[in-house]
Amino acid sequence: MRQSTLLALESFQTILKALIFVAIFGVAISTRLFSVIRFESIIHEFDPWFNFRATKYLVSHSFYEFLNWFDDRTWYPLGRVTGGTLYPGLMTTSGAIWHILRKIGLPIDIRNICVLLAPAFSGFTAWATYEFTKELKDSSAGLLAAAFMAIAPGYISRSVAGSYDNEAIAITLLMVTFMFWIKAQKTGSVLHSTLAALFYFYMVSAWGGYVFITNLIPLHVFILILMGRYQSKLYTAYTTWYAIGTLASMQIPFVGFLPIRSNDHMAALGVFGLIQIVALGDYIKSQVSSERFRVVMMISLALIISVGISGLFLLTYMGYIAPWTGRFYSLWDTNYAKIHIPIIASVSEHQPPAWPSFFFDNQFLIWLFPAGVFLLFLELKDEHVFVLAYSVLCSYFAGVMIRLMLTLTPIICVTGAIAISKLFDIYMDFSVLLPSKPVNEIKPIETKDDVKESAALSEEDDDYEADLALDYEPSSKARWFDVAAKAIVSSTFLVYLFIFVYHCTYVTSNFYSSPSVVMPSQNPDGSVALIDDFREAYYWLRMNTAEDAKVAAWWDYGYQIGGMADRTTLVDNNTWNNTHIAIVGKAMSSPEEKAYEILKAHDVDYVLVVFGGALGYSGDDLNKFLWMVRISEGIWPEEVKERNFFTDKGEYRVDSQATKTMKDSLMYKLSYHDFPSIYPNGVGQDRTRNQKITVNDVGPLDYFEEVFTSEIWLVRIYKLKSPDALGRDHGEAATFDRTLQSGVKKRVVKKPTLELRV
Amino acid sequence: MKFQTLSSVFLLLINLAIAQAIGQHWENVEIIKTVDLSRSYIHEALQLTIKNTGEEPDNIYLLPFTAEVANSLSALSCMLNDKNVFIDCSLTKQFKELPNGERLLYGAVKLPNKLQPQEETELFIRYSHNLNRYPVPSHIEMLDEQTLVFETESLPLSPYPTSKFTLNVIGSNSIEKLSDEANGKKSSSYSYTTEDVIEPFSFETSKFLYEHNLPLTRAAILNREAWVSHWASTIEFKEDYDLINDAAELASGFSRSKFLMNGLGKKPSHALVAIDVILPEEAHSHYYTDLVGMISTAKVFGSHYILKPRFPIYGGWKFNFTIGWTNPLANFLSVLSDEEFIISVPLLQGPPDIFYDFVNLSIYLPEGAIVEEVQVPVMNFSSETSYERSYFDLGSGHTKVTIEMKNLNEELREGPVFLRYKYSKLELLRKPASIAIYVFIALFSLFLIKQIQLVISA
Repeated sequence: MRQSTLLALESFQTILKALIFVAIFGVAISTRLFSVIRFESIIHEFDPWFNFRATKYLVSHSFYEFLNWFDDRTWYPLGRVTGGTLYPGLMTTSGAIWHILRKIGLPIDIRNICVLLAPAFSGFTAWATYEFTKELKDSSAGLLAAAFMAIAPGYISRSVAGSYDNEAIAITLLMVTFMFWIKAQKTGSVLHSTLAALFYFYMVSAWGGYVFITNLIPLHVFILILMGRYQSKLYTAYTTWYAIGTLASMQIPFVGFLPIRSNDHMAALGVFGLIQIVALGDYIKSQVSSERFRVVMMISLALIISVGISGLFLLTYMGYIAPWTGRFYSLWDTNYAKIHIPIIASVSEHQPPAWPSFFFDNQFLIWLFPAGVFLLFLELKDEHVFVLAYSVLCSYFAGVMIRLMLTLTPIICVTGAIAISKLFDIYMDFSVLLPSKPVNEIKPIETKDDVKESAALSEEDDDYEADLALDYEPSSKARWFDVAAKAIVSSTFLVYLFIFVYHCTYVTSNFYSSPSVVMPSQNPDGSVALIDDFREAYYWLRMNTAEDAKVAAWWDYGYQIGGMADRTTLVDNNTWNNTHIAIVGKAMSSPEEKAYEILKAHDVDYVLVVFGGALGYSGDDLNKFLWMVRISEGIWPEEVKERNFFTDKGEYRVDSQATKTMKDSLMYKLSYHDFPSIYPNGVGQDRTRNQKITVNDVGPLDYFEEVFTSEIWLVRIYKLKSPDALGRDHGEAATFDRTLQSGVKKRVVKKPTLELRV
Repeated sequence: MKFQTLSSVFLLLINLAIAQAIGQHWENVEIIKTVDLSRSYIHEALQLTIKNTGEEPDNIYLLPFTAEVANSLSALSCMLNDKNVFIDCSLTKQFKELPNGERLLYGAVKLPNKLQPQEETELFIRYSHNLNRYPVPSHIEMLDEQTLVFETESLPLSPYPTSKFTLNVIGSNSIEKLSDEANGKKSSSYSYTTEDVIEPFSFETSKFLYEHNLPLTRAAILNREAWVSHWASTIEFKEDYDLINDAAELASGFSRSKFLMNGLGKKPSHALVAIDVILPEEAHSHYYTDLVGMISTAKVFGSHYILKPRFPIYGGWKFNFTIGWTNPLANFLSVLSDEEFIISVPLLQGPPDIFYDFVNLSIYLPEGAIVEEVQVPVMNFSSETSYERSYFDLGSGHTKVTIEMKNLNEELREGPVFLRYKYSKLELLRKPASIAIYVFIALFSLFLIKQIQLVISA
């Protein structure tokens, strides 16, 4: 009878677990659909537009054409070797899904596949987190971790429907790789480490953040070796993973020979070498006496270290291995970028996060995180070392760059889940209420645990639960006290969990679901209206300009112009050529005639600026203007000076007190052209900067012609005037026209004074 | 598979008959030509009194058009004036070149009965085109009123002598004939009559300057799709428009400040700021998108679907968009028998005051349906049946009937396309059955895959 009860329990647990997974998938996908419901099925933000464009290219061309894609519609006139400078994983994934669905009678539009890719993958991330956590503790912790992962805002922020970015699939791949690695490391299974390597390859093909795995797994191995926990299992797992993973990753054109040349990858190579030596040492140790072994070890260690370090220096010096990249330096010195590479610093996601954003993205998990890490530290099995290394590394990185919060989130979910699960193991155990049955058998039901596993666990672990349960067996008063304490603690945490879910939903729906291409607003009657100025202007460009027209805009909008307006851009979000970006920055910060010259030299037909003054949109070009100035000052320090754009008091002003350089700059004129005239008395109110602009502040526009301005003035498009019919300079021509208009008066003034003739 | 309709058969016959008809003798007793300029295209009406001056009774009367007009000729129709019935008329392939190089294409009217010698009858011929009309000046400012110049033949272009000819030009508040004297007389209509006997093939044109401060909307291409679903008992429409405004272009660029300060978004002007599409009754599930996604500025008022383009469309500007909606199938379908149906799809929906260069109407019948007959209410079309795979089409795909037409205008909106097809009960059930089988195969193969043991046991 007991056997059959156990079987029934087991099948009940299986069904329950399946149901929980269905629920987790459902939640993970549905919370990410807020943006589709609120707005529409649209690609969000900036980078996803490029990925979308590349995906469209992939599905309309062959895979090899895609890898050899030279894009002459960006970075005019340089072009971009797009096929060789992108991570093809994302596009290939959605391309493959598109092809497969067509095969089975579902010809879904590629845009919808791209939009919904991230939510679909988030379910798999939750599953991988479950498997990962299961390896660390047990499946109850795994389920909690999966549930957290499904709804944690830190991950949702990069995986809502429409945020078609590399991170959308990369986090899934990260977790799957780690999951297989932990399994491989635990069992020494070649199958698991091969799978880890294959997913590592997939990860390499999808996101530049693969370097994190490239360093974390060796670090794990290295620490284990230092702790004296070397085993042949570890050797099998690591060498298999490294050999297959590295060879596979070198197949990605963008990565190529980086794994053996770039310093980012040296740790993995070094540990690969080290583990060979350690394995050899291990073998020698088993063959010779410990006295001799010590001598051998000392000598070989000294030799290896000196050869290794000098080799590294030599190769770097001779240029065989790449120097550290700027982004890498900025990881260690947060001020590095600001001083040396303004282009990296100008990206908001490269800024260090504010402290509240940790809480915002993870809510109560952020304080459970250290608790979970501590609990794992107490146990400190081999796989727990991995979590510790991960936590420490990622906490630092997330503190330096806000976008790395994304890689921190999984481990926060895992450790948080472990902490809560440990807590629930003890405090949710109300078996004392059932005195007739032995304690150990009820417990598994309460914790929704796998019976066999926890039984196995409780044998080898220090069994807190059992100890506690036994302690409180005797008096009924103590028992009730115990129950009350448990009830209070567990109900508190249930409330926390509830608030967490509430918080996640709230944050997702209000902060992370805006496509940023479209903005919500309200009609006077309270109904929802959409501010769609970006698409309005981009579509105008697409419909009403020559197909080969070149559009100069700040690089932020490059991908969107390429994706929505389908026009050639000078610079875009790829930012591979700082000088080219500086050219646009210089044009924007120069006076009109000089800007005209620069832009004409680059064949530009249209200039696009984003102006938020009429709406109060703070992300507009005038607010980014200082970065344009700084970036171009970096290249032409003689011609562009940041100081000249500030008033004497050091203020950044755009009203009547603005400096002459500011008012003369192209950006200023293009932004405010005609703007004050729509206000009574010609005094325009810039709602973004809260300053008043009068008609007199805005100089005449002689070299450019307004061709389009969107409904709420958010996007303004100007055309470079075609050469004057009389061959005059546009400035001269316009001045001449103006003097002609105010004609008579001027002529009187200019009359030459007659001198007395003697 | 090509379908030949009655009118194309008629066309063939008429081509044969023409050679004789040119030699025949007709006389135009009176021609009253009325040109209506009120729309974005030109609408012309001819009131003809014709007399058979030959010896033999005849029923083919020829009507030439200049080659340009013939190429953009739209909605040619002919009526017997007293009987109020439409009679056959069509454009032929026969042409003639005038001494001045002008190329003429013949249209032909076939009278229902042969007209006896010396007998008279009255014809009423109407047609439209969008040619010989252009903005003057060609570039104007946003606030300027638009004026157009229209050029038309001021003498009848008939192969027969004409006794009396009247030209009326209407449809604008200010019409002025441009001539050498430039009398500058403006009026709301222009009329001119001559009673001299006019020789055949007299070719003389006049220009008229008129005010028309409205957009000249033209759809370069309209792809119209109708998806018939028997399972959902709906008919879904989807239309892709490539719009262009032929009005005068902006002399200096578009200024949002001027647009805002003068309330141009709400006044009639030469810019197209809204499109009023008239849909069939009981339409629901509307959508309005373009190549970059949804356009949120559309409203439904009953059967009117008012679309605001992303930007005001000034002269020379283009815009394309897609709209769609769903109707109950019962309003369009008539059931002949259990397995035979006739679907009537309106030729056009679209806004008023628009000219279409090309229209591709595709009717998607359910997978497995067999087309039996297609009837189209216009001349000069081509139709083709093909198959296209859509959602869950695991067999041959939806049966698709494509009808390609040229030069349509909104007057043809009422004309339905009739399609008779066969759709058996077996085909109706085949789809869900095949989906079920595929799902079963998928699940079963998953089960089989799970049976594979990957563990290498000792």
